[in-house]
Order: sequence, then structure tokens, then C-alpha cells
Amino acid sequence: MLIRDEIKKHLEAGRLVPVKSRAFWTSEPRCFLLEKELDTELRLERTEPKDINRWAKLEADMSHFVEGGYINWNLMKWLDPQKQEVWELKSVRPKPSIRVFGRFAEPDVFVGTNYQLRNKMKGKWSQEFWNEIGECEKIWADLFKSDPLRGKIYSDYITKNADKRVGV
Amino acid sequence: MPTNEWEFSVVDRRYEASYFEQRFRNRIYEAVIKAVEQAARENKWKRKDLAERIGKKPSQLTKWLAGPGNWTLDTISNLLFAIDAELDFHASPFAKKSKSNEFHDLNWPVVPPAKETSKTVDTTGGTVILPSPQLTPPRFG
Repeated sequence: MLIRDEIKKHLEAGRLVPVKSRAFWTSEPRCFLLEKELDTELRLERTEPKDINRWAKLEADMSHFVEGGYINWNLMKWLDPQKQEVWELKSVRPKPSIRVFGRFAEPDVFVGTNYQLRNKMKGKWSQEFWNEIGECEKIWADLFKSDPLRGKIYSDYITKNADKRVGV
Repeated sequence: MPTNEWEFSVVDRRYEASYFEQRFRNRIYEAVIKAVEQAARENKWKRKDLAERIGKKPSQLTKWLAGPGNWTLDTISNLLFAIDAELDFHASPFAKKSKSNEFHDLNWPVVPPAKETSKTVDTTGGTVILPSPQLTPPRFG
């Protein structure tokens, strides 16, 4: 089964939920899909103003991807070791920074599998980080028979309006 | 905890206001970065040159270029001044924005196409007017 067919099946079954822009007038040339449990967790009712603010901004960062906004390494990062094909969306503001882990299914199609607050993880090679990478792989394997997209350069994953680094 | 409809509405508006704060930040970052990249390319300016043009350290410029997380209005002004530019302003009411038709095909299944029954008839001219597809109000959270 092609990964596109697997995605469609999961969309129909509600196992994957697309992030939609609240700016209803915008284009949505990219796709950011959330695994159902992650989607449920992000939708939790929050009443503390600082929590409302934090999670709204995470949603805006995901929507920025969907809307075809400019992306660089500081928002979407390909984690080392790159052969594991795990990426993170870094929603850094306000603190605590939130990381949404996931993989690309196709160019411009990202599947978010799990998230963690940055302050709950230590450095780049810490056990906590590895746990999140492992969790991402586990959820992916549960969702898909197909492998994630395997590319070489940033534009293999995000085809337009994206650069690994700012060109100055 | 919200106890009535009005309070839910306040929570909802607060959420959306925060969402649009971040959307604005991401959009202005994109606009400024694109302008800086273009000017730097055309003028063969490096980060060091841009930093010098505003009397800042290159490390400060690197922090600003990395992301909009800590940007203030002054940051925007400084980055644009470094390239001899300023922003022009125009406020667009949401209601007057025209809807885009560019969608990734995997984003379409959740947006049902306009049904045949939603046709309206202009009896004055006898013309059938097909309404443009109504997008489901985007929701998340």
C-alpha cells in the first residue's frame, strides 16, 4: 500500500487529523497531520491565560507550516542522526518551548506523532531526547507500513519557501 | 474554569488573539528576512556589514536572523534600517480577504465540496449562481 493510501485511510478513520489555519482566507499548500492522541492532547481545554497563550502559539506555528510560510532550521529541524528521519517543530515562544516530533510522509506532508516541553528534556543527546525519538518511531510504525520520506537536503522535505539557514 | 457561554467566548477569543499574535510574528519575520536576504544578495552584504550599518555586533544580528522569538518593534526597525528600507502598512479586514484556492490535496478531504442543493437562483436574470465553495471555519483546539 502506498503511503498516500495509508494517510487517506487514517484521515477517514480520524487517526490522523490535519491542522487547519484559522486564517480561513489563506492557502494551505502544505499538510501538517497530527496523530489522534497528540491532537487530543493539544486540544485539551486550558483555562489559565498563560496556558491558553502557549498552546495557541504552538497552533499558530504549525499553521505557519500549513500556510506555506517561510520555514528554516529554527522552526523545523531535522534531528541527528538524520538517518532516523525524525524532525521536530520548535515552537520556542513563549517559554516553555514546545517540541512536536514527527516525520515527513511525502514532501510537504509532515506527520506529528508526539510532543514534549523542551525543559523536560536535557541536551541534544540526552536520554530524554532519545526517548522522544523512539516514541516517534514507535507511533509511526503503528500508523504506517511504509517508511518515512528519505531525502538528502532540506528542499527534499519542504519544497518551497524554505531554507535551512537564512541566506545572509 | 468557564461557567457560562460568555466566559467560554472570552477563553476562545483569548486563544485566537494569541494565535494571531504568533501568526503576525511569523509573517513579519518572513517579510523582513526576505527583504534582508534580497538586499544582502544585491549589495553583496554579509552579516558583519549589516551589523556595522546599525552599530550592532554580528552576534546580535545572528540572534535576530535565527528567529522572531525575541523580536520587538525596534528589532524590525533595525533590520530594515540596515538595508535602507522601511515597511509600508495596510490593514486588511478579515471579512474582505479573498479566499485562496491553493490547497494541498490531503487538506481537501476535510473540506466538503459545496453541495448541488446549495445552488441559488437569481430570479431577476434567471441566472444560476453557484456560490464559491464555503470553507469549513478552520478550527483546532
